[in-house]
Amino acid sequence: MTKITFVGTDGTRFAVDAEDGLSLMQAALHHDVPGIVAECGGCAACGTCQVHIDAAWINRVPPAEPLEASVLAESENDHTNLRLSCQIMIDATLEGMVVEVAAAQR
Amino acid sequence: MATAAKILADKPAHVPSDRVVEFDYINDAGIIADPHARMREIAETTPALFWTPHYGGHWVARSRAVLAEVTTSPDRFSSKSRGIPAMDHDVNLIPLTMDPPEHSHYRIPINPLVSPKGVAPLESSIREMANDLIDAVIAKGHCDFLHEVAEPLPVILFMKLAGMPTDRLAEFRQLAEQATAAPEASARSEAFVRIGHILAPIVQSRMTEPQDDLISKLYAAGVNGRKMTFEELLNYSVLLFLGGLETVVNALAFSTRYLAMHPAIQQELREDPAKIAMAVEELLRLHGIAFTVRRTAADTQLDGVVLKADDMILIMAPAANYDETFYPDAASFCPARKQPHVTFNMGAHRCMGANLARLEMRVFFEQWLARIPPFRLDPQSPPVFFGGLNLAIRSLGITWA
Repeated sequence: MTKITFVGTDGTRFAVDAEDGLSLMQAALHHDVPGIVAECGGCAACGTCQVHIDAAWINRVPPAEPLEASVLAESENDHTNLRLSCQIMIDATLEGMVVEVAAAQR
Repeated sequence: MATAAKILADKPAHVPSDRVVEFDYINDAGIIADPHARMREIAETTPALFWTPHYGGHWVARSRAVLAEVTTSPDRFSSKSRGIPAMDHDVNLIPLTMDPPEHSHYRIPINPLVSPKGVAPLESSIREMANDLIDAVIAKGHCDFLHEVAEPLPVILFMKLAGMPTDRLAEFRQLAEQATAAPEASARSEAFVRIGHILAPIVQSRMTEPQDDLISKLYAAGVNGRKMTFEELLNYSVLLFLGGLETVVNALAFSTRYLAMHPAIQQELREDPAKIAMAVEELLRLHGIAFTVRRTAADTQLDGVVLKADDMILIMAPAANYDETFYPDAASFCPARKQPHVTFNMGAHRCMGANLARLEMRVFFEQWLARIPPFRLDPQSPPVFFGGLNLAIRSLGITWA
């Protein structure tokens, strides 16, 4: 289990014990974090699980693959540290990470 | 027509008897009577995953959970296949029949063209086309919604977008229908070839003289650091043609039929057009259109059953949308639902045109409901439905006289 804090678009904080091996998107859905839609189920196909990774943790997650980058390039959100949460797998190195749910999903 | 369809396969040994349901996705009497009532019935009465002896024998994934597992596990369930019923060669449509990572290379160049930002500039022309179509029918107090409104709007928009001539609309739709709904594999193969022949000169000319259209932009974007070949670009264009000509036509028509039968919902949306965007999502859930196909890559377990390599699976998203475990009181219109619908399917192959479809439907209903008085089904002209890879309407009489 790895502690992840999701921050909703209204500022509400959701500190969850997330199962290692899941994606951030799956952890958010399992813990009913509002705002993550995840229409495609986790394949970088829809752009409905966008999050901002807290600057302190962004270097601990691998950079976006070209498919994810092509979706993010079109986002209406601020592009700083913007990621698809379905593409980031949880492990112990992310302990304490803060993840903000992005306002625009799609 | 139906002779081939009536040959039933013997049940293979690995298929449990309690998973056998005789279901013919093209000629099913329930689909032809009322497609979405039948989807609901299937959701309520069949196993989450069942096997039918039609078309050589294939599995049907009808639950939301099984759909999610199949569509998000491309290593176990491949998109490369000969279709259902099997053609004598692999169906090859870029990127529909590819698996990741190859699929991703071809998905990347289309993403900027079909993103919310990419389709937003089309809003004003969609509104203008909707108004033109409404102008043509409003005074007479009735219309065949399918032929006079639902068909021209997305088809002309799509053909303009793709840079295709709009004067062959009827012929194009007939071919798209044949490619997705003909029970004979040979007729479907032939439709693919004829669509290719129509598109070939357009694709050829866009490669040398680019225009402001989808095919030109797709060529310019390239794939995996190189330009697509003529064959690749033509093949991709055939997929865009099939995707753009059938799906929104039917989604618009089924949704309008639903509103015609539910005057209170019409009224609510007329009084508060801001509710239309969310209503469209619920109309899309109630009226899924497309079935898709996967092939089992190697023996694997699914829903507690062993599937053998090369077993075929028909994924019925329109039935998964009526899965009570995800959508309580699934037959009811509830725009505030938490669970997203699967009309655009899930996984890497989730519909690439979803943003365009949503935009077309929202803008169309904004104009239609603002201008057309309360409308209802025309009892003189009942709708005609048919099955196949797309649930479809052949005519839809409505009246507001």
